[in-house]
Order: sequence, then structure tokens, then C-alpha cells
Amino acid sequence: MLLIDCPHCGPRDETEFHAGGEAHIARPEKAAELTDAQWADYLFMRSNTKGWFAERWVHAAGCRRWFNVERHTVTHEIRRTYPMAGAPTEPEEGP
Amino acid sequence: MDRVVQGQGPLGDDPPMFADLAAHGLTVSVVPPLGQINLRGLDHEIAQAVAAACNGLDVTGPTNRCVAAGASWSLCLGPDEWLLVVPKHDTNDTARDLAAGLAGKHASIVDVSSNRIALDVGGPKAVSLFSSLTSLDISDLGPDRCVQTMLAKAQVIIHPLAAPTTYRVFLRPSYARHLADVIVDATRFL
Repeated sequence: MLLIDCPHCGPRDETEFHAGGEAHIARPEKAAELTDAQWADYLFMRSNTKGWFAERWVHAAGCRRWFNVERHTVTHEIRRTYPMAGAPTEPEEGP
Repeated sequence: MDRVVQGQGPLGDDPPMFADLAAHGLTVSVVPPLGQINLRGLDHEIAQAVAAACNGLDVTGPTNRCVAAGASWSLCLGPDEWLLVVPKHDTNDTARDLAAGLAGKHASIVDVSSNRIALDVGGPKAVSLFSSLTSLDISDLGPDRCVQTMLAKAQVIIHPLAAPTTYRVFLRPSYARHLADVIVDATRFL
């Protein structure tokens, strides 16, 4: 089970949370001007990351606040939780 | 005219299922109906009005802080949300005073008195009971802290009245019978 560090309540079991999918997907400012393909891309297309991944979680059984988590999709290690308005960690440079 | 609904909760006033728990070092009682007001807003904007309406109650501070003022409690449920617990007969007056004090401000005041019932769980085995139902260490809970978590899959708010011996547990009425059964069952292992 994941141990998720809620920014407001502290470390809690995963069962108290609900996952909300990939983070940092901004709603298009002029949605009415998008093509169907562009709108579908915004709504449905998500990255399938192997490695560090920023995703949204909500502490459903606690403070009921949304926040972001950086989790490794292979090891499930969580290196950071931060507010919704926070910026993701810059990806590390490759060799 | 203000209407105050009085009546038994889902467990009744004095459920016989809790009568024998004292032999296991545990006391559980149903708290008479409480006034509960859900308050939302920014603390620096609403603190003064809340203090005026609730005997000086201080709502500033971090999430999960709980503080008492007279017979009223403030449980901070989130960075901009509080559960104000007041005597049942004061609910309408408190809500009205809050509404007057917060007029023109971006705030929400909702009477949620029927949203949760409360159980007082006490006795030398109270912490052991919580340990068997949640992975959180309730014994670490300071007197000014509450915790929102799950007991036997039921969402609850726990705040210490006199830690480490007496805790008040707020839970949804529809889960009351379930949690009561779980508590009675858990005493077999305390």
C-alpha cells in the first residue's frame, strides 16, 4: 500500500485517497475554437510514462483537498507531494 | 420560528450493546445531538466574525487543529473549512450571528447538524481500540489536534476531549450501526 503524504494531514494510507490521473493538463483557454481532434486530445490522451510521473490525488477520507504527487510508475516511490498550483520537478538531464 | 429537531439517532440514546464494554476497559456513549455548522472561507477574513459569534473561538491555525471556547468547538477540516460544534439549542443563533458578521464576505455557512452523530469513546483501552481499527497512532494526538480518517472503512473525525482517555468520534449516521458493531467486536481482542 502506498503511504501518501497529504500536504494538510500528513502521511496516510492510500485507501484514504482517490487518484485523479495525470497532473498539469491545462484546460484550453479557447475551447470553442478547437477541432474535435484537439478537444479529444485534451480530454482523453494521457502520457504513459515509465518513470517519474506527476499525478493528482484527493484526500477523500480526510481533508478532501486535491494535490499533486510525483510517483515513480515502476517502483511506486513517492518523492514529493505539492499543492495544485505548484510546479512539477524539472526532468533530469539524460547522459 | 426556529425549529429544533430532537430525536433519537440511529443508535438510540443509550444502546444496550455498549453496556458491557466497561469490563473490557472501554466506555462508549452516544452524545446527545450537537449543533454542527460547516464554515468555509479564508481564515484571515472570517476569524473576527467567528470569534464574535462563538465566544471568542479562534479559527486560525493549521488544518486539523481543534480548539474550544466555552461549550463550542472548532475543528479545522481543511485550509478553508471548519466544523463548528455548538450546543444544539445555540445552532440557529450561532448561524445567524455568523451570517450577519460575514455579510459581504466570501464565506459559506451551512447547518450540518444532521450530517454526523458523535460517540464518546473512553477508558484505558480507548487507544488500543483505535489501534485495532486504523493505522494511525491516535496516542500521538495532542489535545489541540483532530484527525480525519477511516475506522473500519467509515469516514470519521476524531478529536480528543481528554487524551489519552476520552475521544469524540464524529461519523455519518448511516455508518453508526456498522461502526458500533465493529467496536463491540474489536473488544474481544483488546
